[in-house]
Amino acid sequence: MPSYELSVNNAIHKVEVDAAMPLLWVLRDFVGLTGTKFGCGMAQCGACTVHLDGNPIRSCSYPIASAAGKKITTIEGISENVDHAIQKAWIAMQVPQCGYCQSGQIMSAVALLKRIPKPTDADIDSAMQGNLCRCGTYTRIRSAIHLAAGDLQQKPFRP
Amino acid sequence: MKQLALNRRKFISLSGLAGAGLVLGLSSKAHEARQVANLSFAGESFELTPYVVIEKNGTIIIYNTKPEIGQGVYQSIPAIIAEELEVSLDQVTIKQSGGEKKFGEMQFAGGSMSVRSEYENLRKVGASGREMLIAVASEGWGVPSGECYASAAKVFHKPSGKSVSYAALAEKAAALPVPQAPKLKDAKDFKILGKPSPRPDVPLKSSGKAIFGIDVSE
Ligand code: FES
Ligand code: FES
Repeated sequence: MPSYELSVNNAIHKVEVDAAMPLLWVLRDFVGLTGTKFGCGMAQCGACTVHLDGNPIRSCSYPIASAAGKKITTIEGISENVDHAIQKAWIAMQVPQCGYCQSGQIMSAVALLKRIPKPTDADIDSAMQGNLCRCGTYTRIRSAIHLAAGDLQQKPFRP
Repeated sequence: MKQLALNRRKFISLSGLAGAGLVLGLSSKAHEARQVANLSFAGESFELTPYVVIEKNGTIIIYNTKPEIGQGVYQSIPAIIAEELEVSLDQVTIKQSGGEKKFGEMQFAGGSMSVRSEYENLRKVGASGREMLIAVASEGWGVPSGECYASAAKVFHKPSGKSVSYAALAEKAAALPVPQAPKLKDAKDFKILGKPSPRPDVPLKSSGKAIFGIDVSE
């Protein structure tokens, strides 16, 4: 079995796994980080979104062999105390309902704000369209991204 | 007393409730009317479901025994108890039961039944605790319990303005019998129920820390 050195949230992990194993599987079952979720397993829903060198990717469909040597960031790596601007906005707007899609939503939103610090509604819709939410939290997600971008006054938690 | 101490130690070691002062729960037999029970000295009575733990250091734990799946029970179940216990939600550590036997057969959700089926029982758990804590405080002060009230995890003596924390009362309260027909609050006096408050599960669900079925490995 090939062995890989992975940089996950700035820590090095050595794993021995099949070259075709999806990164999501490695993260959850070998590195032990379960914050990233399995939704569809076929790059359709965004629940498994993590960053590879800062860019959002679908870890369920990304072979480990292609991730080795790159900088992997998961939901656990964006802040220590749930205080990333996006997370603060998520809490202020009370975005999550069941929460299952939200790790992926947040990783996509963090990447969006890095690329476009003041996104328009259209920017948000196009950056976030690959992240499905069965609970339908889309309008709160959009407000929270605006809030994190500094475009909104802090709203009460129940908008 | 020796016997009690032994049982208590056993219960605490078996249940992981180290430092617990007062532990209240419900009998968990599904077919019988469930009753509020004092588990502080419960020995091996694991038919009993702990719902409230007031530790001597002041930590107040309330258990949610229903699966949180977006319907909000992680907040609503503890809120029902907290309302009657007279503690605010930010004074409470919420813990989720994980299917352990001692939490009974009712650890599932369905049909929008969680709050409807547990509302009375959970209010009684909170109200019994409140009455026991008030009883200890009023006895300590030598005043009628009717002159005392509870708020924000403290008991107050109205005429004198004296107050004492639940933490200081919990251990003595644990030795009292549980009132089975505690006086429930009038809905107009509710401080938590029916009022919007931020959901305690939101930070967990915004950080990958919330545990879902797929995250459980044993
Ligand atoms: S689980 Fe990867 S996109 Fe759905
Ligand atoms: S919050 Fe439930 S799927 Fe998005």
